[in-house]
Amino acid sequence: MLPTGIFVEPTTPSRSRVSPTASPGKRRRNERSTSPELSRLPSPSKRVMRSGALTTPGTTRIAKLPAHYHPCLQAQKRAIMAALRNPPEIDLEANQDETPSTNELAYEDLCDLLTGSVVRGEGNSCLLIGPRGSGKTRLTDRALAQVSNDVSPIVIRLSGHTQQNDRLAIREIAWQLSHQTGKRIALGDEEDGSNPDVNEDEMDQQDIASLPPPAYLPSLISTLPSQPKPVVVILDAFDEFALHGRQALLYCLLDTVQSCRVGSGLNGLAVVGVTNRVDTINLLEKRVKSRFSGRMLRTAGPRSVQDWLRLTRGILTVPLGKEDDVDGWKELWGGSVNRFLEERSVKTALHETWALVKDVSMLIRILTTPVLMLSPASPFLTPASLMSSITEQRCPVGNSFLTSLPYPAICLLIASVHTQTAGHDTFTFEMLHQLFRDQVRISIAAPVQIEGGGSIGMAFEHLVTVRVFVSVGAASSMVAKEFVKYRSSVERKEVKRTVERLGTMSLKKWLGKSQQVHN
Amino acid sequence: MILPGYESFATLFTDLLTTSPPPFVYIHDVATPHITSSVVSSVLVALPDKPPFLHAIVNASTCFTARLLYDTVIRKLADWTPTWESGCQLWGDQRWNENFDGFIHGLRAISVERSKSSTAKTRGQTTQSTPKMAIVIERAESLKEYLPDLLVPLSRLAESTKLNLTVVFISGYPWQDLRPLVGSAPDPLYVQPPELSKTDTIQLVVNHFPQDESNSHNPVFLPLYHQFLSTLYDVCSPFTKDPNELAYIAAARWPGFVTPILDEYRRLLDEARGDPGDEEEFELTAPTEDARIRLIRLFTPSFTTALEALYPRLSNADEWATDNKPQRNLLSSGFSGANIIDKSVPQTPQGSLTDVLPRMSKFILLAAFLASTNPTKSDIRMFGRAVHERKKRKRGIVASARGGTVKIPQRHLGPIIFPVDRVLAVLGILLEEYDADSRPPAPEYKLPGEYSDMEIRRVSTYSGITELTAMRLLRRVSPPERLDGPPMFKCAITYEVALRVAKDLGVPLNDLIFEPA
Repeated sequence: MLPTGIFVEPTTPSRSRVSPTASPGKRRRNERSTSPELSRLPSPSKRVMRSGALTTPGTTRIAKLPAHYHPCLQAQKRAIMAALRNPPEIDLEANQDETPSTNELAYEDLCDLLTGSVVRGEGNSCLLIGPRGSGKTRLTDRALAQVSNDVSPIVIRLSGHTQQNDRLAIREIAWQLSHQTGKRIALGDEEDGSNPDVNEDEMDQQDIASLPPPAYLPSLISTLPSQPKPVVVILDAFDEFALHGRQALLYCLLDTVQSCRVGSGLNGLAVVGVTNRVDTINLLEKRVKSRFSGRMLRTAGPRSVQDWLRLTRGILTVPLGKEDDVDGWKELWGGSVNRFLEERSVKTALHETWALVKDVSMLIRILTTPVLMLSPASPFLTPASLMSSITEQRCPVGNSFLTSLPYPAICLLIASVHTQTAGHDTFTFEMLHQLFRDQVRISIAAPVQIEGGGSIGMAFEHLVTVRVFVSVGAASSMVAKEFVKYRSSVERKEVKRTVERLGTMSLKKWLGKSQQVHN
Repeated sequence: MILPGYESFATLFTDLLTTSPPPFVYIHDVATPHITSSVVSSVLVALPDKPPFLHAIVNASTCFTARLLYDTVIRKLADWTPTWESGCQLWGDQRWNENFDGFIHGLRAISVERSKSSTAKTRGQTTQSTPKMAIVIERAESLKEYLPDLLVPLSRLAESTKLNLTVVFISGYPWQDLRPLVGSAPDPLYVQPPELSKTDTIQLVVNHFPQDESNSHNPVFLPLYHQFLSTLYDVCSPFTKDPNELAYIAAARWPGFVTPILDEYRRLLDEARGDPGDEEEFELTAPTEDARIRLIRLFTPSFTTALEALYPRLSNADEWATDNKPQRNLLSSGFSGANIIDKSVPQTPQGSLTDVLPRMSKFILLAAFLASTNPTKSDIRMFGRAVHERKKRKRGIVASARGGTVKIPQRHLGPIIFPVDRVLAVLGILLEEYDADSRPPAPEYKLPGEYSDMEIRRVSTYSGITELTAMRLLRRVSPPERLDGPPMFKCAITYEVALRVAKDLGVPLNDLIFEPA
């Protein structure tokens, strides 16, 4: 346990309760209670929000929703949440005159490629590259569903995140094959399907007992074209597979793909790599690269802000099922969404978000909380709820809890700023404690007051627990706790902002001292 | 029951789960993650059975290996209790804990199993509903420590299982600290739990008031307990607002706080017994407003002492409550002093280490402290015994010029390492200066300093050092098996302890420190 610096202020407790400087906590609470949401927002958006609310009074806030619409609201919420989990395609009819979107082109190419393998028995490989949230997985699923209408292939899905080495990958291939063909997949020297009657339990136990060594990779993968149905292998996080030792899995897969010839009586094989890393092709070894077809399909998120807004509207106005619909609800809800999206502040916010991140998943996260907060008391979306959701989701401030730190912890933070000013980036507890005691001693007006006592050591430990102070170097039993070196992960500016928000004069002055020296 | 202050959070979370939950949710709560966890679990338990909703709440710090995590999640989702008779068998007909693939297969198996059973129940309808699942991982920051490889697969679990599944992380750290460096994990939906207000915190603690007719937790005291907590919160809130800590301090102080009322009640009861007929009228009632104000005024100073002792756990609640018992009949005696503690109760003895050490060991300890605190180069200046040495002694750090780095006293940077020879040399000086007069006369030592020199060469001096090392007051830095060079040590006592020892021996410690406080 750290030594506890217990400082008892000179005044009596009863006096300290009434003295104005003695109640930092109370003042903090009052300040926070005025507007918890507003205080978190940066000032420009605050202004925008207020003006938005002022210019359209009463348009988005209907006092109370008639009771017969309550089930509709719940149904609408459910429908929107479902749409958020599985967002609708952007309405393509609206921009027919434009060239087809990247995703559509990729979809057609992928369909062609898969059809080649599944229907005509070709060996194909391609890479699907696109940023996060641009719809790679959806596109693959759609293409597979499209192809499966004629002949349903065996689909083997692997992920570089899950199968972290080739041994795991080969086992998973064997498992998925056996589950989709209903046959046991022999590994190694045994012939394929030689023992089809073995029931699954036994097979799995055998599998567990002996993980196939990577040496069996070629023999397993070369059996893929001889399966009863064509095989499609989807490698999610393709770049991770390229980091496996000797790229053995990729080599074997692509080699098999290349040697897969039409008309040899075998079924087709397609390998689709999905990745968000643009330079994936450069990761491949030469022997692997030369076996790869080099086909790279690209996906992209919404092309323009209009698409982004259209998607938003599409999600928010997702139609209800027939059983939930009540006369007039669709118009009421549609009108409210229109008004919401026409608000200047909402438009700006959505534009800004689009300019920063073109990731649809971000839009989904931003919309989730406002939709969840809908209730019969506040039945329609408001700009304020969107704003607070944006600050929470788009760039969550890791240090927003600083203002709620206990008083001694704030003192320690200020002391850490002082040590930084003095040229020491790392500090020990004793250094901060000394600074704190000095400050208490030299200020006759007792600018730093600790009301009655408490433990500064606990405050220090609290700061270490919430990782405001990060230990430098490995922990050692040889160093006593109070001499372990730490550095502060909070910038000087943030400390300043926190202290200003708390509004305690004495703390401000103390922090100000370090800045005078600094300047 | 939903805890006070968490109502809107609970509603939001219920709505989130009962509609289409996003695949990955992150709840970041710095102040009270344990309370948030309990709210989340109560929300999950309270969810309706139809449509089926499976959930598993696991603590990442108890599931420190991948197998433990897989098994616990599968067991809880399947609502499976292993029995001794069946050989503590896990759920399912095979093991799901081999690797992450096995885990995914296990989750799918559970989903299939549950959808089968749910369709079996409602045979009339043909719609087969796949159950929703939620996996809540408390203290998710431990994952980064124990199972860093699982962070990305867990965050993508819904995608890889193709199930209607939500993974919820609850942690005291922001996701930015946890997520792997390469952007392979998807960003979660951040959910911010509310900050507890004063009323909520007090209500949280009041909810745990153990109601018991016989003693200090009589239900009639509930309003008083509320007021008591309110005052306690005002005293403690600048330091901690954690309801658990407040409850701990309250548990230590409350029995003492109501003792005067109980004393008064017993007194009145005794009086009534003397006067037959009135016996039934006396029931324990809540004290009057006047008595309440007096009680709170009398006890408020002791709240601060309780905070000082109990928040850093320098004492435990039970011991502290015994030591701070109020005087008997405090209310009726008209007492208005500051100290309400009953002096007749024997206080818990506070044993001090320095009391048990022999005199020589104290000197060794002091010498070790000086050797650890003063720079090696300063020894001649500090302890030199030449004729005019004292005048030349110039100590401390000269304040550096503007803009330069301020030098930090060694006292704040931690003890430096010294060889055993150095501590013996310092010990010799200390003994000569502050111990020589108290020794028994030894006429065989004629040269000045010979007696002290003899003292430091005794076996007992060396065994004293070894003993202090065994007591961890000194720390041996060099490995014991190393033969070349003197053994190296480091002092492990604080400045305050050293001051006490020095006072004991009559040594002016601050004069001997190169950079005094």
